[in-house]
Amino acid sequence: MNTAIRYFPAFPRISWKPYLLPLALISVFILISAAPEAFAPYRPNKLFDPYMELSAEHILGTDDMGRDLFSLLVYAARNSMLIGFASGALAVSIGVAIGLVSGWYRGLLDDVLMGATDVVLIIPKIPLAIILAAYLKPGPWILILVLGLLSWEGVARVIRSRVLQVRSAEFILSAQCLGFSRWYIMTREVLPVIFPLIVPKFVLMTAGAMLSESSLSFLGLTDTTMLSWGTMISESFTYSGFIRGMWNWWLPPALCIILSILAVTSIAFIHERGRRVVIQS
Amino acid sequence: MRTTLLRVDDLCVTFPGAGEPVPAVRNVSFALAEGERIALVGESGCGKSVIAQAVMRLLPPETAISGSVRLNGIDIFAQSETAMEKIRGVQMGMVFQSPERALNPVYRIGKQLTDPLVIHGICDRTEAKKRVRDVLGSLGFTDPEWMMKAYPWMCSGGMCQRVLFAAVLLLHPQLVIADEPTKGLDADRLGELEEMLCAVSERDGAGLLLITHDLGLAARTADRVIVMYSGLILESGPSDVVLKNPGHPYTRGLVGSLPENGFTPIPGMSPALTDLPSGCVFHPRCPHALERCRTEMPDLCMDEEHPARCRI
Amino acid sequence: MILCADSITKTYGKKKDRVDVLGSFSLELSEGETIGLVGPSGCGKSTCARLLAGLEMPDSGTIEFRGEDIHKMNREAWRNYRRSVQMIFQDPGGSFNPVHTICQSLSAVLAHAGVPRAEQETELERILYTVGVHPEILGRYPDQISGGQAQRVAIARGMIMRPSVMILDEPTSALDVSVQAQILHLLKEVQQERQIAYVFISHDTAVVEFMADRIIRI
Repeated sequence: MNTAIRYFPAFPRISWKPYLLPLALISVFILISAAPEAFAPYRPNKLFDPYMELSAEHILGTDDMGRDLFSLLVYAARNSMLIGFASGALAVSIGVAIGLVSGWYRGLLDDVLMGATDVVLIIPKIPLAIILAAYLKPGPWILILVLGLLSWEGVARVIRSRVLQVRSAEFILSAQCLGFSRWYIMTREVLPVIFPLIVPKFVLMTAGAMLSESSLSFLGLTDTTMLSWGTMISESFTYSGFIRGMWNWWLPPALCIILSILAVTSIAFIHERGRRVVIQS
Repeated sequence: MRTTLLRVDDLCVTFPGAGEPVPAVRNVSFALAEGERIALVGESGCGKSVIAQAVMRLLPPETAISGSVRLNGIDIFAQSETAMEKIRGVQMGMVFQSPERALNPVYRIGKQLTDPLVIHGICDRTEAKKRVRDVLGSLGFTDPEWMMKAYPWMCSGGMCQRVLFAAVLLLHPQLVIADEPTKGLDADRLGELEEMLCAVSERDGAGLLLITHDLGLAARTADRVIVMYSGLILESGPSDVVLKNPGHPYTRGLVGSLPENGFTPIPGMSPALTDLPSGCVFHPRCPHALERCRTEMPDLCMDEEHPARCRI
Repeated sequence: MILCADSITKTYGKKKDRVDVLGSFSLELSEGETIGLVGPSGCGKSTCARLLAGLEMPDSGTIEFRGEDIHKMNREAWRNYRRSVQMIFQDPGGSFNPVHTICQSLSAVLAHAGVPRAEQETELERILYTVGVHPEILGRYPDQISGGQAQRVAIARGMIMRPSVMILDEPTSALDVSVQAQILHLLKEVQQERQIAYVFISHDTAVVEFMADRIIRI
């Protein structure tokens, strides 16, 4: 007898085939981030001759310092994926918590929280990230914090409006009648119903964070010692990769960024087709 | 002898469903004459609304339909969609369930009522407005001008119900189908509704196909009653005869459920359409079931005056 | 005297948008009794139901449960009140969470009522048997069962908490006439077995006359 409360609404009986590709792609990227040693032929710091051409030992050649480009690509996946998913998770966690509380309690608390949301909306993300990177100890966590702490307002608003709708539904009144506490109702009755909204939001936040990170790294405004796809492209510019026509340096990371973001956003559409919809009439 | 307006012959509707096909309507045949009022009565899920949608050809394309539906001799299933657009509204009109939801909330009621007249080329907008005002007045609205400027959300369920009737009456269709018109309506408004239903056929000589789960309403409003269960017709006959002297145990049970008979329930529940019992479809709930009811399904001949699908 | 309302009123909106939904309503309910509330749509019956169930606060007047004002109760008394007064709603499927199966919805209530996990399965089958529903619906979602079945399960769920009062807000208005007869009989059976007091709300006078000992018109 299955009594576990469903946070994940039932998957519809649609064909999985169109979505096999993005899921496979994302799994490959996640796998590479988790265990780069298994995929990269060499350690990223191992030096060979610089500017080498494509060959059997160096699939993508080497950069100006003699590091194998394919190994760099594989090791860079970790930071790009980490910053993307961690920022997304942070933004969604804060957004859902605030949206849930705001929509449930309404009144003064709702006004205060939505006011705070408006303030966060005004703060420009990228300039703040730049300034903080300049003043604080560099590293991927600054980026995660900034992107995560400043992106939650979109999530909060959407979740709040959905919670307002669901809150007046009769099954919530039933639950209150039966004597369940407010926290129980919020987490085990309301949350599973709004879950189909959270997943696409999370995925889009992740994609957005990945793009922001790549742009900032490309502009050299993040920690330059951090290895990510964006920094790889940036270095190829700075260290004469473009001038020398070394497409093997900047094209693979660019393709990886594009593919990972595309794969991640495609997943958002799977959950959009979920079947258990609460329609208020 | 009045001319036959609507003729349904051996209609079968099967929905594809999530796994097995669902036989919603099986071998339904009946005829509706001009000016006649017929009620299709049955519990939710017995297929009566599906028949209405089949007649209007509003069923989704993947539905499997066999049999024929003829309106004034025109074969409905052979028409193109363009031809159907001209038939719907003008030759047959439908009053849907849930009046508040059947009206578009962003347009004024006046516009929603004048548009069909203009679109079907019946008259121009000025003439249309005049006709709408007349019909609204005749339906009991004391201020038709206000009604025409109002939005649906400003009106109660009962008012929206009358607006829907107005919409249907304006086009003078020959066949009016009313799908569960009592849904969402208070018990004290039932009298008004019954008057409107009778007025529809008396005023224009239109035929009325009433779909309802309330046998009492059907008997008061319609000339003939057709009782349905799990997609089959179980009994058919003049409404007073069926009410006073039901020929089928199910109809007897429905009569017993009425308020005036003490709300006597029928034991058990309607079977799922994908899991129908063998033999007579009603035998698990029938107090008079015999051994052979488990194996044989009785036939029904619609040409008789008061046929019933029962051997007892 | 188990439930007593004294001149309760309810108004929505502020200043000039005010709507007086309920004006000075009073009621006295004794153990095992059924009181019927009749009136047309929009007269405040549902608001009255929610006030009596403690889901909303009246603007004036008091509601007393076993002599105690419900809005001045301490935690223990309030919890007891919550358990003792249950409500059945008009839309049968709507009173269940659409993303939980019937089994999950009922098990959550059983756990809340203190039934240990090991006994939940037998308890579920027993309560479904009392209301005449086959246990195979346990695996289904609310939109996959009929209105009549859903209302029976809702009644079963209300009974888990062993209430002394049940407030029935138009429980059969959304159901077929034949199903309505079944539900009304079920309610009568339950009342006889458990001595529960009912507040039965409906727009249909015939139904209320069948169910109620006393009728109040709003």
